[in-house]
Order: sequence, then structure tokens, then C-alpha cells
Amino acid sequence: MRMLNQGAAMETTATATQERPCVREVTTSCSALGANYFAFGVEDAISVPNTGQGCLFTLIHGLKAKGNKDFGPVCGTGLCNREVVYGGQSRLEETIFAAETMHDPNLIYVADGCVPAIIGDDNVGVIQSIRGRLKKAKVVYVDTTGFDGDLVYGFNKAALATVNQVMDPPREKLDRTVNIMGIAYWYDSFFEGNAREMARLMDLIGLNVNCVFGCGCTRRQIEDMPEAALNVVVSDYINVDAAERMEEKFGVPFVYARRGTPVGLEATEEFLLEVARKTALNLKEVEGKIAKEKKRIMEKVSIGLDYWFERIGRHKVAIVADSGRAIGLYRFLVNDLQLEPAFVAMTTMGVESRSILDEIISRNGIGWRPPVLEMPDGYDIRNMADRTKPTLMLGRTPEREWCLNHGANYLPITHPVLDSIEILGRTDIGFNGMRTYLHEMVNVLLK
Amino acid sequence: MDEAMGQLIKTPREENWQTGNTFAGPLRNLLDRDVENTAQERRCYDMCVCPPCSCSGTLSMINKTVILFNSPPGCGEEGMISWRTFHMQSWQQMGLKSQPEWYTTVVVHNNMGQKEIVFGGGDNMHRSVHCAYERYKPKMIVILNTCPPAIIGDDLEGVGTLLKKEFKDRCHIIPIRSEGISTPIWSNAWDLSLISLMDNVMKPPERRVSNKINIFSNFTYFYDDWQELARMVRAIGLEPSGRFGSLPGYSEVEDIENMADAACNAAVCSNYARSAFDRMEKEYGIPFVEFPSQAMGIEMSEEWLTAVASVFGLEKKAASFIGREKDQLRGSIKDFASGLKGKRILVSGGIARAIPNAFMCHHLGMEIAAINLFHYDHRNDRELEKLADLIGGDVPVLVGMQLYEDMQLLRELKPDIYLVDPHYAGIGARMGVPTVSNHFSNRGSYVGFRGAFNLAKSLAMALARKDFFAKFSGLGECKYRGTEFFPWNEPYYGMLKSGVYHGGKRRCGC
Repeated sequence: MRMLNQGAAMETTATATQERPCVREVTTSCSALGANYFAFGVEDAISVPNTGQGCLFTLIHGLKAKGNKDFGPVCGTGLCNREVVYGGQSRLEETIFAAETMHDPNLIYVADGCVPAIIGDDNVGVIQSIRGRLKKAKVVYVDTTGFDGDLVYGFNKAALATVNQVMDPPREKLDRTVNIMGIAYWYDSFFEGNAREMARLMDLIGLNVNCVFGCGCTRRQIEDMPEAALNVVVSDYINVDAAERMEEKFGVPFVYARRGTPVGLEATEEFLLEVARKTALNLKEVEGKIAKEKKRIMEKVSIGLDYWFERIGRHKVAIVADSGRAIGLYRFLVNDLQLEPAFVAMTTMGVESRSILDEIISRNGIGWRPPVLEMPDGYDIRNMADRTKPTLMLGRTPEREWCLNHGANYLPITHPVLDSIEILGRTDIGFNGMRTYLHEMVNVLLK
Repeated sequence: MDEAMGQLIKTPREENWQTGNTFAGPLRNLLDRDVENTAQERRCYDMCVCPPCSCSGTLSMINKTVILFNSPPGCGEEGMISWRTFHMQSWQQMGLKSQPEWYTTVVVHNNMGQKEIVFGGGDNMHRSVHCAYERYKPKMIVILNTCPPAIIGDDLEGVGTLLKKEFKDRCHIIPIRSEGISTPIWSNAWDLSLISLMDNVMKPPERRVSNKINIFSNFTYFYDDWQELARMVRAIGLEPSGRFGSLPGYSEVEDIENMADAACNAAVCSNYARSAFDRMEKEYGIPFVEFPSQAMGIEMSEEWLTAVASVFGLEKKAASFIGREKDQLRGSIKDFASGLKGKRILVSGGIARAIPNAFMCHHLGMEIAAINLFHYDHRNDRELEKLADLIGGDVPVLVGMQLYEDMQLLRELKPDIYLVDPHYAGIGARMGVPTVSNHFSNRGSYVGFRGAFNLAKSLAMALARKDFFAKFSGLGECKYRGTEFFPWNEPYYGMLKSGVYHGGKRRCGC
């Protein structure tokens, strides 16, 4: 299976490339910097972006704008005109050694940007030549080019490189242990809470979690990943290819959020039952535990029940989100909460995302189909909003202005979010994700 | 490796002004420096604002404009972030919750991919400009070149010339060679932005308006700053051009077209616009205010306004206004000054901002623990000499905008307070040091006389909250490793004391 996202779309054939829109509003970073987001998510790793000097500032400024407190340890090569003319291999070598001396990391991630990719530096050769001379750090080379895709594409490539270059075949198999994948560090505004919520849900159904891949894990945990019984991928496009590779290489099966990120009652229950089936848990027992948890959550959210009917019910909602979240939110907002959908815009695409969303829409029982946009530009989203006039938009910062200028309510939920920082560590997936959304929506609409 | 291979290719600004971003040592050594051996060094780790992003920040301050990154999707991210942080700042100061409806400038990219890298991106560039025009109907389209098209050798000028013909009466087309690999000194982008405006948009003067003054400010100055400078020049009978008293400052394209009608050019930061000023003087005889620093703090605000007034022969009016302002200020900052006296401060920021801030802190009775200048050029020598006379030539100075070096300074020098650009403000706070961001505020200017008051107030308030800052202490250690973490692999403090870096040999942590 080949996951298709904005980045992947760009590296397809010339025919596909010719159809690419030639103007897009800026919303994301490139694959080289996306790979660094993954490296940031590995606690004992250091990233060495092998990019132009300006890209490093963009990376640091980008992380800072998203609220990351650890945006400091970036040891980029900062390539400039000298390297373009004479080659940048010696500078990469110098910087890798400097990174090891200064930070003493266990892993060093090197991701190439446009400059070394175009001038043709042999960076794989550089890394091979220095391997024996490093004290303890292992260098992971991520084969990005900067112009081959967007941030998520780079994140996925770094994950795949980690599977290929860091993991070894398992020494033993642990029946009740799983790895959580598909939560992108800092790309996902709720990454911290999401990792915790997934770990909690796994615990609830009786599974142990080895690590949350690329989101606060260590080299040791990554090395232990092949021992797990299952990889649980909470997305329909992030890390799915890495999970596929692990299945191929180490025989670790995986489940992924094919029918959308698990948010709300219906989708979360469905996802947990699939995990339970794959790990051969006692389904009856698991169903019992889920039912108990659902009851507990419903009691919690009933605090705002009066306001649901009074405030939320009359709203026409637009969803602008990555494909998994868009599908998950559609199920939650339209199927669970019975809101009227204005339109759905999927900013990234898994291969099956559109057909699955279409299937879910066709079964929603409201008799008509809201428009669906695939990887639209901000311009297209605004035009669609002008046409469908939503009164509540769950989207990205670029849609903020439209909402404020048109009297619509707005919740920033998906990348890029530059006008909101999640300090409370809440989740937007699972059962507790439902609480977060209801809390936010009720409070936004009360204002 | 021969000598040429070890050096970067320099831009005119770097050649003419000996601009550099690497130095560490006593202030006196910086002034006496051997340029070849100090300011042209290079670190193992280096980062800098990418020139197209800097151009994007500046030129997106012009209304009805499309900023087109001739680039893959990622390059404009910094433009987008700047968009939020810088523009929101002005909008908030204007009392708005979001982007004003009259402001229609957008930042886009032309989605360059492998096909363009292999077969050339000229057609894509051409098509994207047409597409951008059809979508947004702007009055100006800025094409910002980035590393990939520059390396593969796309003919920016050729496509630009063709587009100019095609859009002759409809829209200004401004192609800018702003690729990130061109320089590690971001201030080059200011020259690129302003000179491009002059070459492509500005018209020859039809009439000279005797009291009209252009005050140029870059994108790190906001609505309240423009208003303060406008207040100061209006007080002596001058009228600033532009929608809000500053250029670009959300001006219309027509304001840029008519820039040459002004009787004089000035800038809040002359490092910013000096090359453009030279050009305007040479071509249209427009004099400019020769003032290498910024109108920040009491001394520099006074000097700036006096320099502006001297171009128009309005020195007396200026002196009387300055006298009134200073009298008022003296009374209002007296209480703050008492708390700040004797406190040690690390002043960090762009050179034109850090120098006046250091003067102001000295004026408030503070001790300058160290200064970090984001870059250096010889045009500021006069102010630095004056500063050295005031605070002493032994004060440690670091040149460069590397995050880890500021952290090292904070760790080693343990100042009482840290005055810095907002990019690094969080670092100071996480190390438990009371921190003041020197040009971001939702309310109030940091330039001019009112800015001097705001700065004194902010410093005093930060110091009063030192117990709160202390609670964050230790969080800023991140993953750095004590004194070993230093680009030249030498104990920093010792290096500062001995000025060893002045020797000039290349060092790094490996």
C-alpha cells in the first residue's frame, strides 16, 4: 500500500506533476524540516539538518511559534554559497562530530534539504565513512530533498529511516505489548495529550505500551519496538508506511485508523475493538471495559448537556483537517452530535480517505452530501466557505481571518496552528478527545 | 583546501561595510579588529533568517500585493509565521482582532517540485504569476527567488522581463534574487527589498513636497512605533508619507510609486535602508538622514530627531520639542530608574537596536554585563566608540544570532536582566533570568521618547517579577551540555577575558 499525501503527490510522474496547482498559499514546511520534527520527538537524539542556513531559522522559528520549548538543539550545517560551489560534505562531517561532542546523543538524524540534493553531495558516503569514528551515536540518514514533499512526508521518511537503520530483529516477542505510532511531534497540536490518551486506552483494554514512536521515545524503546505484538497507528497516513515496513521486516502486524482518527464514542470503540481482535484479547471482556468507560465519559460530558442543545445544535459546521482527523471529526460531529455539515476539506490524503469519507457521508442519513475538498488551497477553502456559509469552522490558523470577518466561530485544531498553544496537555482523540471538543465548542459558542 | 574554498562569497553590503556575524571578545577589540581575521569567521553551526523570508516580511507590509515564493512548498513557512507574528502585532496595536478587510496581501509559493528541478522552473514561474494575478488581482507581484531555482540556474531576470511586458499596465512585477544561499547576513535582504521597489515601482518625482519625509521601517516595527515616529516629526512641522506614517507600513502601491516626491529620506534603522538612500540621492537628489543607529532610548531619539531636523533647518523647533519630552521623561522614569540602578544587564539584538538600548540602560544606571549584536558592520563604529567610552572597552561583546551563544552568555555571566529580541526571550525566562522582549508588545512603542519610557517600565516590571522568573530556572538547559557546549570548544568566559577569538583561527566543537 502506498500512502499518498501532499508530499508524495509531488514526487509522482511528470503527468501528475503537470496537474499540480502552480500557486498555493503557504501553510507548511518541507520534508527536510519534517524529518527534524521526528528527530525532536526522540528524546536522546539530535537533529543535524543538512540544509541552507535560512532553513534552520525557519525550523527553529516554526517550532517556537508552535510553542516548543526544546527548539534549541538544532545543529544544522547552514550551507551557503561556498558549499554550493565546492560541495558541502566536509561541513556535514564537521557538524556531525560537533553535534556529538556538544550534545552526547544516542542518535543523530541527518536530513538533506534542497541544496545538497541538487548539488549532489554524497552524504550517504560521508555517514558511512564516519560511523566507526563516533563515540556512541548512531547516525540515521533520512533521504529527503526538501522539494520532494511537505512536513508530513519528511516525518514519515524519518520514521521509515528509523525502522530501516535503528531496529534489529526481535530477541523475544511480548504478547501484550504494543507500540503507538502516527502521532506527529508538534505537527499535531495535541500530541502530548494524544500520546497519553492512547496509552490510557491501551491500558484500559489490558495492553502495555512500549513506546510512542517519534513522540517522546528513546533509542532504547525504538530498538525494542520489534518485540511488540502489534503496532497501533492512530492515523491514516502518518507512519503507516513505517508500520508496513515493520510488518515486512520483523513480522509485527499493525492496525491503523483507516476509518478516521478515533475520536468520540463510535470511532474510538470501533478502533479499540480492532486492536483487541488483532492482539487476541477476550472481546467480551474488552467490550465490558469499553462500555464502562463510555458511561463514565458520558457522565462527564453531560455537564454541558443543556448548552449542547442550546448552542451547538443549530450550527452548520465546516471541517478543515488532515484526512484522518477530518473523517474522525465528521463521524463525531455529524453522526454523534448531529450537526449540519457545511463542507469537509482534507488537507492531507491517505489512499482510501476519500472513499471512506464518501461511504460515511452516504450513510449519515441526512439525505444530502456536503462538498468535500481534497488537499485544497486556502483560497479554495475560503471560496467554499463563501458558498456554504458555515457558522462554526474547525480548522487551521489560515482560516481564522475568514471566520472572524464573517462572524463564524472558529476552533484551531490542525496544522498549521499558530494562534493557539495547548498548555493543558489535553487530547483530541479517543473518549477524552470528545470532552476536549465539547469543552472548546461550548465555550467558543458561549462567547 | 585552498584559501578561496574556505571563504564565503560576499555581497556588496558585506564588502563595503565589512559586515560580519562572528566575533567574541571585549568591545574594544571589536573596534580595533582585524577584519580579515575576525568578522569573516564562520561557525560550525550557523543559522540566520533566510533572505526571501526577510524580503517577504518587508514587502508584505505593502497592501494589495502577492508575495510569490519561487520555491518548493516549504520555503515560505517562515513567511507564514512572520505573517502571523508580525502582522498580528500591528493589528492588535490598531485595536483589531484580525486582519483588516482592506488589507489583501497574500503569501504564496509556486509548488516547485522534482520536475522543475530537472527540467527547469521558468515555465512554472511564468504560469504561477499569471495564476496569482487571476486569483488575487493584486497591484504588485513580488517573485522571491530561493535556493533551488538559483542553483539550477533558472532565468529569473528573463522571465521577469517577459512578465513585466505582459503586465505592463496592470500590475508591477518585482523579481528579486533573494536566494538563501547567497549570504549568511540577513540584512542583505533589506537592500534587496528596497532597491527592488526603487527599480520597479518608484516613479521619478513629479513635484517635491517640501515638508514630506519618508520614514522607512522594517517588519519588526509596528503600528505604535510608526505612530511615535510620526508624532515626533509632526511636532517639528514635517509630514511623514504612507498610510500610517511609515513606509512600507501597510501603504498602498501608489505611496511607493510616489516615494520620490519626498523632500528627505529617513529610517528608524538606517542599516536597513542606507543602500536605498544612496540610490535615491544619486538618482533624484533626495537627501537622507545620516544616522547609523535607531531612534530608541533617550539619547538616540534625541540624536535622530536632531539629525532629521537639520536636513530641513528646523533644529530650533526640534530642540524645543526634545527639551519638553526629556523633561517629561525625566520625571516619569525616575521611579523606575531607582530600582534598576546597578543591575547587570545582557543586551542582545540587532546592532542598530542593541546599541541604543545599551545607551538607555546605561542612562538608567544599569551595568552592561555583555552585548550580543546579531551582526556587525563598520557603519556603527562611531556609536560603538561612544558606548565604549561610556561603559568601558572591556565589556564582552558577541556578534551573531545563535541561540546557544546567548544561552552560554546567560549561564556564564548571570545577569540580573536580559533584554533581547522576542525570538530568544523564552530562553532567558527558562533560565530564570528576568527577560524583556525589546520590540514586541501588544501595546506601546519601543522607539522614540515614548519608547524610552516603555523600555524603562518593562525593565522595572521584569525585575520586580524576578521571583516568578526564578521558578522557571533550569528549564532552559534543554539538551545542552554545560561549558562544553560552545562553538569554539573553549571555556567561554576565558575566551572573553583573553579575547582569544580575536586571533582569528577557525575553531569549532569538533
